[in-house]
Amino acid sequence: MLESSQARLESFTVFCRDAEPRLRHALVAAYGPDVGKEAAAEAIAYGWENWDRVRAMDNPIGYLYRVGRTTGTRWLRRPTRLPEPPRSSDPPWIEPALPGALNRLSRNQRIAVMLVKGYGLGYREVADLMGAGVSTVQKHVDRALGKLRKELEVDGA
Amino acid sequence: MVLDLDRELRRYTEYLDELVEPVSLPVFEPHRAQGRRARTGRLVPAFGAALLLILAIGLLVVLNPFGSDDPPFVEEPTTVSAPVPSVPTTLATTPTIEATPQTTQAAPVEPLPDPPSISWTRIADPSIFGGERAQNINAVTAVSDCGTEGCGPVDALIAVGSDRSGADDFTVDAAVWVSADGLSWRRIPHDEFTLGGDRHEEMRDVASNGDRVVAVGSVLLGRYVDSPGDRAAIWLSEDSGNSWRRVPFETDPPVRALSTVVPFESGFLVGGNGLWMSEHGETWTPVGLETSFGYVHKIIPTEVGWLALSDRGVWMSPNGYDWSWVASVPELADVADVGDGLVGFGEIFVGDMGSRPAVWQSANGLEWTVLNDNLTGRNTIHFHEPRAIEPVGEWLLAVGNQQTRAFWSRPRLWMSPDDGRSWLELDVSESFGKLYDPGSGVSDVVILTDGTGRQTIVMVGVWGGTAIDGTTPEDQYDGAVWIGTIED
Repeated sequence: MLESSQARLESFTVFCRDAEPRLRHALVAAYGPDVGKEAAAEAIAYGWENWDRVRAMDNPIGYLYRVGRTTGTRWLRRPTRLPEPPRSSDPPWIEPALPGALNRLSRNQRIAVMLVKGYGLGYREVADLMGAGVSTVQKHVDRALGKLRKELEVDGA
Repeated sequence: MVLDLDRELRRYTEYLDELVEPVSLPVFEPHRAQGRRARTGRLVPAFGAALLLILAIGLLVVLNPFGSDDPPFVEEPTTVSAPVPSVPTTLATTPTIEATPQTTQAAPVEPLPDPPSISWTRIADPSIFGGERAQNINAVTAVSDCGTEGCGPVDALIAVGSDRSGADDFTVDAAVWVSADGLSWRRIPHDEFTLGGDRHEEMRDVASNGDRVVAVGSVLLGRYVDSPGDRAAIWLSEDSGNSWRRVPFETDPPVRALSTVVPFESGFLVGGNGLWMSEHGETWTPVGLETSFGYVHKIIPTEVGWLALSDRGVWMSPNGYDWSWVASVPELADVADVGDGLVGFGEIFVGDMGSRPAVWQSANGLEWTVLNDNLTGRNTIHFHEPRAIEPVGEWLLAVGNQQTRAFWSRPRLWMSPDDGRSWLELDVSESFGKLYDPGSGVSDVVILTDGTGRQTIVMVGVWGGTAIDGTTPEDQYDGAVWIGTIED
């Protein structure tokens, strides 16, 4: 039993090495830093508790993402607020209007564009995480970029 | 404007990464439903988790205190079959409460009688209670010819709650449903000015005095960081819930929400961070020392006086105007008047691991003792959400929700033939979902009595049944009504 428990922990650790950043990034994009981190912690804890069942699934990270989303939705009773970066430098090193524009995207659009364009994940990875098709993720990203360009008055909008 | 959007997004996500540290792996401890702060507090680095795991497993192997390989924190998925007699159990861990006297009682020697046979009908019509986004029914009341629930023929049932029908997932509007018989319901047309808006609006309770209907809840003023936040709100209807208007409710300091309303004299009494009364529901005046109540979640008229249950305990008043703090039992969720005393329904917390549904009794409202410290009859610990206790014929009905997994719940119903001393759990898995089905919950209960004395139980809440079959995401709950017909 000791060996199997160690093996269980090792397999979960290996899984988390890859899954934790993606879950955290997606849930922070969905719910902001505070709730997103907590929702990711909830999803990881749930995954550990149910690891024998979760790891047998076709898409364990997608399942835990749904766990985190459900948890985040329950906790969050306000619109998502991504924080504004500090404005100490001149010129600002991050476009100040970007967080507000991201906040006004739909949740799926915000998650998709932040994961693909911000965190550099592939469309397939994001599709697995969100439990959606690659083409759906592409549409989310395209629409999000279109809205962001328009709102931020980027050339080409 | 020259702006590299991809670069800005990369920089911004790097900034977020600096703000949010990675999630550490959980310590080897079965996951239990907890508050978000407590959840994070239990996470430790993976290396420590591995060490603790080995030690814990070793101890389990040596001691085997559970009699099996798996710790018994999570019950196996099961359908509750026959009613399960529940007797008080010894708590596994010292409860966090200290002021509440604890009593235990020997198991009943005599077998308990069979509870009344109740057939349940679930009304979860997606065209009425459903929609693209989640809906939630928080409370229900009956408009009857004498103005008090259950005292005569019912003219209408009015249910209130919320609907995420706004422009995005987080714009919540107040919602009202009405029914003449409990079986067929009609949604009051959404009114963006009164019930909606670019805000978070929610009705939490509703009451009728036979003439007018008052709903209480909250609205969110503004959506941004420096906005004022939630404010208490009161809605008034003069036509049995068919049309509504907001009435002014300004307090200093501001009150964030109201959670309870009851008919009082010819008007109403509402509770939140204090108590307020109104003769016609139009203007409201504070009652008692409103800054002392804590948060009042329930006002209950009883034979021994008015009760206000708050997070500071029990408050009593002989007349509804003069209130005194009488008991430190903040665990009470609801109280039923059983004629020769009061029976309270609440939860006893077991450390920070969860809670157990429990029952208290009081002869006069002043002193409360625990009658049953664990209605589940099992030593497992979950988070429970006690909701209501109501007399049904010669029995008492207690209704609550049990959090079955990290975030799923389902209702549990118990009945007592002897004013709360012993309890039988009802098998309601057909109508309320099996123990491990996601997302159903009861928010409020009203007992209707017709002219022949026949009673009907009306429960409202949320139903996640459409999530079970995968047709909607798990967080897209619909409102639901359950009608319990007591068979002869």
